[in-house]
Amino acid sequence: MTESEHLIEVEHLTKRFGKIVAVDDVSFSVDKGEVVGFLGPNGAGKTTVMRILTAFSPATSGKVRVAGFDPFWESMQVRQRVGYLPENVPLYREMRVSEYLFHRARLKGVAACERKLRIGEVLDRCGINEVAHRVIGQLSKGYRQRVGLADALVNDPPILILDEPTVGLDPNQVRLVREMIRDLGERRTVLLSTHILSEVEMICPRVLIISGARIVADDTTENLKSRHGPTLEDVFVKLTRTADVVGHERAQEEVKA
Amino acid sequence: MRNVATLTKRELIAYFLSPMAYIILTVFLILIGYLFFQSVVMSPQPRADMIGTLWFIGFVWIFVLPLLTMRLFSDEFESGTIETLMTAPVTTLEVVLSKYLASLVFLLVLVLPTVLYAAVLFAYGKPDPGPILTGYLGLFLLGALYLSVGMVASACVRTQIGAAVISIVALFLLYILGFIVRPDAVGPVSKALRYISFTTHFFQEEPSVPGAFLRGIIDTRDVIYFLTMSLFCIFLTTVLVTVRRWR
Repeated sequence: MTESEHLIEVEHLTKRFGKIVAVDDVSFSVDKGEVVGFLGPNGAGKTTVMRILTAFSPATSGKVRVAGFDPFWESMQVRQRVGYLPENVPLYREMRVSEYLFHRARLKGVAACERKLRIGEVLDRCGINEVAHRVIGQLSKGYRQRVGLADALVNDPPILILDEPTVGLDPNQVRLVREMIRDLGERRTVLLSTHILSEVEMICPRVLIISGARIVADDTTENLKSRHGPTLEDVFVKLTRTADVVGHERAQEEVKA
Repeated sequence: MRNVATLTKRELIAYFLSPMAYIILTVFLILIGYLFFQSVVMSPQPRADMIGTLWFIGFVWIFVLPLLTMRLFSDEFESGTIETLMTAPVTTLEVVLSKYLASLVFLLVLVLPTVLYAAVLFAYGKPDPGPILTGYLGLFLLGALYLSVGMVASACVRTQIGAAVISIVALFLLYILGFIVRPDAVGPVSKALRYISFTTHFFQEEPSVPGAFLRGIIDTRDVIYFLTMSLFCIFLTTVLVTVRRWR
């Protein structure tokens, strides 16, 4: 593995679905040990970027490196090093929690002798020990979310990509997951998307804001607040709305032309 | 290979944890049992062979096997688990092969109880074992082809019902193709159509002549037909799954 400072590196990334541009010339990088919040309105392109980073779908153009590997050409190396929690946490509903985690650990190449230990660890860490033998389909949203997180952690990957990990949780669970992520960030690189801005302020020293398929801000929360407004919410609204207006104007110009 | 074993195991768990598997198994065995009873035991001139039974099993499978394959990929796309699956360190081909292998295992489970009928024949008559053995081989190859077609359909659409309907229609068209294209037609198109239909490779070669497998002959042309068709469908599934992931 090439030991570069940037664990995630994205340069001029563009993704088109037919004529729709989902991600437009996006560049950013995330260093080792950083916890970065990835913000943006719905449909701005957050999930698309995350899917490209996790080798789920390829970019149309641009250069992407995750842990020093290209997610398209060296997809297996990337997949081994990234723990991914997709939006809405898809799980096999008919399996039991421990059964599912064993399956995933085997798939992700956790050695047979370590599997039990690793799974015990993630069950503890995610607070799902008491449901280890329950069927996933019968669990509450909060538990399912944490089973998904346990799956992302099961092979102890250096990079975590979490797509809205706290959506649909009650305040107690949100706090639990938030503390977990802060914990995890001490040893890992974390990129997390969310709509809950207070959460970002608490755990992410740095935020990326994407709007209208483009990056509109990439800075520390403190800097953004001093420049754009008293709270992160003001920053978010200001930046994403201007981008929307600009995007709208651009679209109108295209129509005229 | 380790990944294929892991994934196949998970697919088998999914099969045997769903009520669908048991419903299919029960309905199928009742149907075949009834037919065997009518055609062999109750027949005025009973014949000690399995041609009728194997033929009927092959026909019923057109409607049964798509119910087994419909969830293979539709379910993954519908529930979004395709995203966790295809971001784990496994290749698309490994995933496709595992799903196919698991469905072949289920096919064996489905076919094994019918061996009992052959045993009944041996207990009460003197059947020729050759055509029964080759018949079962042909039947398994036929079922494997149905499963691969069903897998393609489940990689095409998001809903399970949609996948089942598409594969039943496709299989039924392939089935009747072998009957409606006349065997004495000489044009290259009708020859190709007759070749593509599995009917001429299993059910009947010519009108009132059963297929080679049922007559006790292993014709390499038939074996090659089934293997290439199934492999082509596996390949097509891999392409479809990749393309759908990319969009």
